Amino acid sequence: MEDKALIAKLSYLKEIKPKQEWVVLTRQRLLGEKTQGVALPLQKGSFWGMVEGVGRLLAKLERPAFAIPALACLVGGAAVWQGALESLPGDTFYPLRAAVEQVPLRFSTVEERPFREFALAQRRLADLKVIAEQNRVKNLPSAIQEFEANASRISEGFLQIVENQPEKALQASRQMVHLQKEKSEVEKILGTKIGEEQEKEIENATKRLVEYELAYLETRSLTEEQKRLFETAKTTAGQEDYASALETIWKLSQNQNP
Amino acid sequence: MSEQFGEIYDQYIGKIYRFIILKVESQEVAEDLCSEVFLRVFGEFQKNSIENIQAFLYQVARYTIADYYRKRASMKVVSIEEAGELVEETSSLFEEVMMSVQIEEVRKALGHLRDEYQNLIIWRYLDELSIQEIAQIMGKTEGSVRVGIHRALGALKSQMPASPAGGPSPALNVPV
Repeated sequence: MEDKALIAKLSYLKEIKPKQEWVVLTRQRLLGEKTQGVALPLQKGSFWGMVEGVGRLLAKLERPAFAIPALACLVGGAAVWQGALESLPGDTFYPLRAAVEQVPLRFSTVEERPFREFALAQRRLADLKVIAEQNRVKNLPSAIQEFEANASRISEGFLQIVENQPEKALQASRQMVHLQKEKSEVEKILGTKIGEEQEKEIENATKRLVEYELAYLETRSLTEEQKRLFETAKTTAGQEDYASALETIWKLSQNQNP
Repeated sequence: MSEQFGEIYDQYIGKIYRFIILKVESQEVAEDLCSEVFLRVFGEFQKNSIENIQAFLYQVARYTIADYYRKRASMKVVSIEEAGELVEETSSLFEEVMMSVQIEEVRKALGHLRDEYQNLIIWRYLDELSIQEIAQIMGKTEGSVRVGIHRALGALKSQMPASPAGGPSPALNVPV
């Protein structure tokens, strides 16, 4: 064999290359470990760990090999995020928005949770209103389903407030009344009733709250105006219009210090 | 500092990996040793200024391989199946098989040479280093490097089978 042929044959060995994943991983491990050695050790998943991760990603943007995929990820991620924020129940990205909205709920205390559920229910109603106004028929079933699921959790939470935190029940009831009004508006646009089953649960919880408040007010000394409002609330509750009775009680509570 | 070393890493990782894998029995061992080489060099890079990073990398790679074999009794060569996995991109199954056969053949022959000859062949014909660069790595004169390369080629030729399994690629740019 001639030298030239042998050298040419040797060149086949140039095809031996390390696996790209291993190259990238080793690079990260090597340089990452040394960088962390200077700074305080970071816990996985910590905020500063996340910041450092983003920093490293941005640093890699300077390298052409990483620039295009990284930019594509960033642009794609931003587009998905924007899409999720603007999504409505029934849209592709809505599950992402729903998941994000659930985060504050997961970190709330038992006492806070019902109030956060109210806020969520108001968002669901706002979604329903947009869907109804824009006549987005395909989104409607999902939106109603979402609202009903939320309303169901609210009625449970409201009952808990009435039972365990009566001092906060009046505040919750105000939100409840407000929500009921918004719901009526949406129902007018839709031309149909929504969340009828949950409404019964909410009505039941409202009834219990009204009864509790009326019993409490009977033990208190009231001004003339408060006595008048108390009688009105009692009458309305007797007519099983507990929402109106609750509003009157709310007005009475605002007149405690004339 | 990390950024600078990152550039060195990108430039030499392929060469150092190939240098190592031609002397060890498996991809896993090559990856481990190669990581070790870069870790050692990075440690030194942070402490002292390195005059010739290429020469230093190869030097550390040689010591690391030597350390590895000090713990191992003999040197093995990778199987043909494993050699096939080393080739990253091939256009067809036929080419892949042919490439694996060629690689295995040359690898086996190279594996039978003494370490110094292996290094000379890898540096000159795979890494395409100049005689001057090889002389710097080895700490020898350019003249003795030339002689060494000539002898290494002769030794390799004697290890190669008489009939070639396939012709050389016309596209290859071979330094003479």
